[in-house]
Amino acid sequence: MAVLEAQEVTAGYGDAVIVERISVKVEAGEIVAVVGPNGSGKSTFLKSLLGLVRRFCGRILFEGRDITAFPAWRIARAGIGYVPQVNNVFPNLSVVENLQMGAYFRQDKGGIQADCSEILEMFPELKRRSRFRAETLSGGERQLLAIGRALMGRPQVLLLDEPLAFLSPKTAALILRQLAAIKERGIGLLLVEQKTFLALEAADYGYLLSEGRCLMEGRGSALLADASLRERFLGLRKEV
Amino acid sequence: MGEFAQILLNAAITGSIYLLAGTGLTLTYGLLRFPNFAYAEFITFGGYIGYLLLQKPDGSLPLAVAAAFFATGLLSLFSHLLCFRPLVNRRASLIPLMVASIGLGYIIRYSIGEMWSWAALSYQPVWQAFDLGPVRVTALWLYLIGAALFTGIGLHLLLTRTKTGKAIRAIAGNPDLALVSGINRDRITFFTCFLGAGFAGVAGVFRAADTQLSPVLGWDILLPIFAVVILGGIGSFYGLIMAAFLLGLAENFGVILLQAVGLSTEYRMAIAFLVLILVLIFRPKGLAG
Ligand SMILES: Nc1ncnc2c1ncn2[C@@H]1O[C@H](COP(=O)(O)OP(=O)(O)OP(=O)(O)O)[C@@H](O)[C@H]1O
Ligand SMILES: [Mg+2]
Repeated sequence: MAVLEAQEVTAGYGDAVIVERISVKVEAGEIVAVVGPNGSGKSTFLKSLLGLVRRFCGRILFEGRDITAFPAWRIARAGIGYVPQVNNVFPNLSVVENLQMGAYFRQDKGGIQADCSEILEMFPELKRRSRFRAETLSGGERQLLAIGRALMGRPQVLLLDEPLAFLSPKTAALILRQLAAIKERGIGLLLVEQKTFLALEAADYGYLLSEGRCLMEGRGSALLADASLRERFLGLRKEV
Repeated sequence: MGEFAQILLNAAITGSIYLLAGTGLTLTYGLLRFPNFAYAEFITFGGYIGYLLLQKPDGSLPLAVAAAFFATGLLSLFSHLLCFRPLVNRRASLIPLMVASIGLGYIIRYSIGEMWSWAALSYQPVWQAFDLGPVRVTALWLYLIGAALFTGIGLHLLLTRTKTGKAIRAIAGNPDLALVSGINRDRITFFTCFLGAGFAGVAGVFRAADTQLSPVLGWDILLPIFAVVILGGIGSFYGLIMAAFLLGLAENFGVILLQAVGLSTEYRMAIAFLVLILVLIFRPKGLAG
């Protein structure tokens, strides 16, 4: 059974439909990439899974359970973590408080403490600044903090909206390694990425969105190999 | 020397009222993003609840304060559920929410006036002044300063040490991220509406006991309270504390100044706004901004 499944989801803002009839499946321990040009509706689609934008139709299943009607905070508590593309931290809270908020609904004080130290060990940049307000962090550091905050909720599936944006190649590599480690723990990952090549290479399965519709889906390597896709959307030449 | 100490004490008294009255306004602004003008009537309502309790033979100030806190908190909770929350859920923007709060305030104010009386009432007993070191005080003022200290320290601890308090700050900083972190925004908002208005009700009791009780009790001091809230950087609790006492000082020194130059002390109110405008020219986002 898929840990997260979107069935024919149509969503948008106000009366405007932005994404139409998108179906996506994420299995436990799998990285699924959603790629597509700017404005194709990738972020809107992720938000529709979280109950942050208006959904017109479609169903969302978490571990087989229908969570379509859940408010956003209950979706989070069910076990869906989210790293937004923008506004991804609590600017007025310290780094440690940001992490604590990620574990807001957990009751195991000891476990929270342990996870918090583990994440600070994982990202030394954050550890150095643990008492600073998040608004003083750089874009890359915020990205790390956002990922850490999402992990604090011990999600079964993690939705990441362009986690590699703002990151130096070195930090991006670190994040990709961390994502691989998260995947090893059996957590499903749904990854929206601008860096299409990196994302599809890391992914087990991929979906290509364009103008709010799913144009193509398939194994990450298969999508990468598709010649027309490479030229039209990835901007890659054949010989690359 | 004694006169100077007396002015400082008066500043602390003024500042304490502002702090108690402005706390809810600034905290709920952080969550709901509109200035709730009905706070004027929350203050008034608290004053009347206090009056009810203090008229009884066995009435005591702490009891009146506690009752005003709970009753005003409930009034605010009802007004949130019946008026503001439906508007917020329909994504009403700042102006409609603000106008709704002014309308709700009118309803409460006129209900109090019609059902009770429009005439000014006085709290009994009258508080006797006595000498405490260099200054003359009443027990009421000491209670008031104590209540403000309690509120300031208590809220500081709440906001920095407890999960609920951190959630209040988290929602103010990034409401959507709070939701996807599993924070039940509604519950936190209910709690904050209750708590904030409770303090405003307490401010009403002290204000009424120190002056007179009437349906315009809160309305009359709403503008300087807004000045304090804006001066502190609306939404910022620590800015509010600073601003409350800064304006308290400015007003009480200003009164002396007005008398010295032979102007009416009726200008007292204007001093708050003079300070507000001066500070905002140099710090447009307020003291905390
Ligand atoms: N809050 C909003 N209200 C109305 N329309 C919006 C809103 N946010 C996004 N849109 C519209 O939805 C469309 C898809 O935007 P979305 O952010 O989902 O694209 P994206 O694929 O994530 O793009 P990018 O790669 O640049 O992040 C765009 O045309 C955008 O104008
Ligand atoms: Mg996007």
